[in-house]
Amino acid sequence: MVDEMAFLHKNEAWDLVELPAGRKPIGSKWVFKKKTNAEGKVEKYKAWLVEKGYSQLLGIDFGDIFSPVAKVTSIRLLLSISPAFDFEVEQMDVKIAFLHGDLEEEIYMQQLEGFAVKGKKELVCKLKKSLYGLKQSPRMWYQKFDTFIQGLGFTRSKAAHYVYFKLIGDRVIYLVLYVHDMLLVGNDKEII
Amino acid sequence: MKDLGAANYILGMEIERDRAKRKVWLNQRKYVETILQRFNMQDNKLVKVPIPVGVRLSAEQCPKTQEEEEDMSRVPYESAVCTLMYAMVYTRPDIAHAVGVLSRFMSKPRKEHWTAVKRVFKYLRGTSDYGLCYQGRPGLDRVLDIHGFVDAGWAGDLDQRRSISGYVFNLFRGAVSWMSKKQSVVALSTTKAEYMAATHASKEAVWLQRFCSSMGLVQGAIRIDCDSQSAIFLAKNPAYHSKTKHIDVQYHFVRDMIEDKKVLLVKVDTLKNTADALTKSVSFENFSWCREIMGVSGLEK
Repeated sequence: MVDEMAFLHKNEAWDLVELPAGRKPIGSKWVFKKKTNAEGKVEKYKAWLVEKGYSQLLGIDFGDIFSPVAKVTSIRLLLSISPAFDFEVEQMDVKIAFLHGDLEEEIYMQQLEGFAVKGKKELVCKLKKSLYGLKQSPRMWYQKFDTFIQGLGFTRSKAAHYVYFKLIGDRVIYLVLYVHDMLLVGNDKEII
Repeated sequence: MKDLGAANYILGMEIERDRAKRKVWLNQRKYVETILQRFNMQDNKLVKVPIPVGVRLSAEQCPKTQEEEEDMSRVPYESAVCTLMYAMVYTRPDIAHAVGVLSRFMSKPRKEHWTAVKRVFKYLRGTSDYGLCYQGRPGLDRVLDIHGFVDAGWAGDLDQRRSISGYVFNLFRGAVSWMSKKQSVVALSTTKAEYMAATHASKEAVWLQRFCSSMGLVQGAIRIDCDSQSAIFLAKNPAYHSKTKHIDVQYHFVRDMIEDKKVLLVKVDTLKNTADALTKSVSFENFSWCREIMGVSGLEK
């Protein structure tokens, strides 16, 4: 929990402000989870903060919330071609993926119990980054990722918006994004 | 960002590779073992097929007496079928038909249905290490050769007399895409059931082709094998026909795709149609043959 709070502060997830008239702050809570690996053994325990997204109001707290989700067929297809072309298959993840998305809407959150700043308890947190649980978080993250990866010279597949690729001569790299993990298939390690 | 190195575990699928033999193998062995334990089926005896020929399930069999209803309410039918579905969607096309049938009785399962669920678990117990295997070499210049099979089980649903569409698309000797689904309208004949199934398959084929070509891979017209000569004839002949006027416009999609040369519909012998096992319960010989062509096998093979 303390790790997560430090991370949130470092990334400037919110400012402390007074709540404007007519707005309601949304609640939040902690979620704890055991992370297991392929053998079912416990790798680590995780704690993260989630927003109670269900109390958000359309038009005020969120607008467009669509973000693409990877179709498992496309993952299988890329895996199926990997032995034939002798491609590398690698995986990457982005730490606390959603935090990297910048918010477009103004959202206010109640201060956290036990972590409230002394003498400023009446203030609320004005969110700057999209946290877990907000309705628009996946979309904000996807948009940020999309801009970032296209900036690296990747092209987005027209048939599947969660798949990107980069071709340089006979070297190629395919990338499938599924929320905050990435599958990379290709014959060029250097681009990564 | 963090590089996790060579991928060996993605979305619940384990990835094993043999680079020298140019093979990759996807399986959910761990998951299957977990669900067998969760539903206390790890000591069940083994069976060879998920649904044997002759087992006919219908909603008619739903609980009739209060006592029976109470019995069934203690059975975790829904969650059991859902866990099977998860395995089916990722790496197990061999249980697609069984899961499709069983999921029709989610709201009111009866003893017969639960017995059938247990049977699928028994089947999985004997094949828990089975997964999808892909192998082979590509053609020149990133040319792929996706090959599809389509079939329909006419009036396979006993309650509404609707037919079951099934298709599977193979690439590098393993299935990449498959479906077994009850059709949304009643088909008046086997031909029409096959025709509708061909439309379902051609929709997927078009997406697969678009997906491949959008990434610089070369995939020409996708060949789909169908065992109904009359459905192929119907699809290739855009002429108006008094016997086809009741077929809904959307099902003529397959005609357009054939005309645009995006899909090739080819006649195949019924016994050589891999999609057969996705639309009906079949004998073990037929089932294991279909399973092998779909690339579903244990690791040692």
